[in-house]
Amino acid sequence: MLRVLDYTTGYSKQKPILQNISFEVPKGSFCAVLGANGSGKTTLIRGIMGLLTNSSGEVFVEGKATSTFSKRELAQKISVLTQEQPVNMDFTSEEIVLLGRYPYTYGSIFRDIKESDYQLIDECFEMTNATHLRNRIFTSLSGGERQRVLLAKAFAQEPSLLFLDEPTNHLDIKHSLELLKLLKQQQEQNGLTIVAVLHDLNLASLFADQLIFMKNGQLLADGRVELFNNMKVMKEVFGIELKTMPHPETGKPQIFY
Amino acid sequence: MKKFISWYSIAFLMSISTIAISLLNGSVQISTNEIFVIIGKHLNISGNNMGTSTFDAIIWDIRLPRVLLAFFVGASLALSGAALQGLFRNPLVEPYTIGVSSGASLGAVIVLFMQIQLGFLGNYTLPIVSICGSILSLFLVLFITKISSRSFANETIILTGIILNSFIGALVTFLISTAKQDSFRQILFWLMGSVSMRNWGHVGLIVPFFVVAVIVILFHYRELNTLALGDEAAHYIGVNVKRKRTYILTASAVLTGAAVAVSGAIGFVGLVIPHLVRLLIGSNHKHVLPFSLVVGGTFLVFADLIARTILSPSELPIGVVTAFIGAPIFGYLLIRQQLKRKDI
Repeated sequence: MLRVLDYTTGYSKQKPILQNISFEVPKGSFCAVLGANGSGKTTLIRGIMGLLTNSSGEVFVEGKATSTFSKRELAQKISVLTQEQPVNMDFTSEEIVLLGRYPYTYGSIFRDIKESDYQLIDECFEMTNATHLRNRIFTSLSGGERQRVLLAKAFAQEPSLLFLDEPTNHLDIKHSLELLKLLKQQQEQNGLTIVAVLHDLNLASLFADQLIFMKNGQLLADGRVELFNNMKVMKEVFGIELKTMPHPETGKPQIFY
Repeated sequence: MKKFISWYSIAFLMSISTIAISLLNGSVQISTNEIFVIIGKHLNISGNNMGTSTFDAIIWDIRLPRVLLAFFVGASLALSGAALQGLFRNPLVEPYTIGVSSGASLGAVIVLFMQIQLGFLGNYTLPIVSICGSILSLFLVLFITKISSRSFANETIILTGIILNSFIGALVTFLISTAKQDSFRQILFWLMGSVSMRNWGHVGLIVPFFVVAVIVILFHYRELNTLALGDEAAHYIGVNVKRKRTYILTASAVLTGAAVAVSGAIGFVGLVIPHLVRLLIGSNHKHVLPFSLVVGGTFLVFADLIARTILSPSELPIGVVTAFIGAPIFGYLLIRQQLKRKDI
């Protein structure tokens, strides 16, 4: 699904932020990107999405190099849900979600939202349990509600790959779990591939199938959640000693500090 | 959608009736019937020569171009303000805050002060140099922004605009201070902003720029909507942010430049009208843009009507009127909006 090959990127050629990153995420799996602050996790997403100009190496999505995609084509394949962004205008949630249809409106400057688009966003609202928020003003919603609306917008792009950059950053544990369960559901039912930058190691362990550890712009380790049990790797990534125990129900490693 | 149709009809009726009232009123009383005859004659609808030549001159050569010019100027400033506010996600932005108006003013002041007359441009030296000034100042803002911030951040553009404004403001004041007495008056008069003493030539000058820039901006309503989420989020939806932003900025600069060129610096319209429109119909640029255009034009026609009739036969500067009318309305709508939010 997503294959990153010897990828180097940054704001200038002399000082690349990411160096020689290679990894692969199979279709329909949930990959968590972990690492200390400034390790290049967000840059990875920005780079793959074409926001950084000085890149070398290749990124393949569904077997095709992203460099051959136009911006709109890329947006039809990949959605990105970032940390909460301030929105100043009084848009309704529906208007926000309709923005997700933008990549499908090319071809004519007169192309506008069609009836089929409305049907599609009906489903997106349902997927994220946000139907009741549809006509509310976006800025009047709570943090958790906003992220659900933005997720509905991400789904409206009909992506096969979803990038998440610390989606639960400002959310309490209830809303974080809610959001991640929603994502897990989409992954399992509809084969959505998810790559998420997460801060909470325990949540990552519970929801991810694959872990990628980054440090100083380099990929340090790539593997299944059992990697958490590897003390040497953890010490190197986070610079502190971690202890783990299996989760009482799922058996996934849980982290203690 | 129904809601919007009725809003559009209201706006349309209001603009037509405001223009009609503006034509009817002035220091000389002319009957409705005569006005129709005069306009009909000029449009070759009715061939007879009923209107007297004085009335004919007042309506056709003075009032009509003035009213139309006020409409185009108001529409330009409001649309430009709406687009810029959307682009920067910043309610304080208007053509003046990014330095476009200053650039236009500087161009005009240089022409007035140095009494330049470029041969092939004739009387239109002043407006055309103003438009050049506004576009040049825009590109200067973009250039400074680009080299000082790689990510092309919005805050940087506004800061750059402020810097440019201060600098050009100082230049203009310097030029005025050293000016001869008669050009001094001329510059001051022009700086205060006015649509009086204008003719069809001025209308003809603003229209081509107006039409092109309006088309460009109206077709970018979707991009303006996506930019509300932030530049990065807009990029992720597939918007070519830098390119679209350059289109919208340039069109806004042309609108402002052309407006400032023919009317001087009339403030307040670009800030208040888009706000007012958003408070009434929401933030979707599909409606905000055309609405701002119509409401802004109507507003300035109305403001000009008051400016020339309230102290008749003398006139107020139109900027005074726009602020007098605009500020209380804006305040009222803002308070009402806040109260409504509390109820939810």
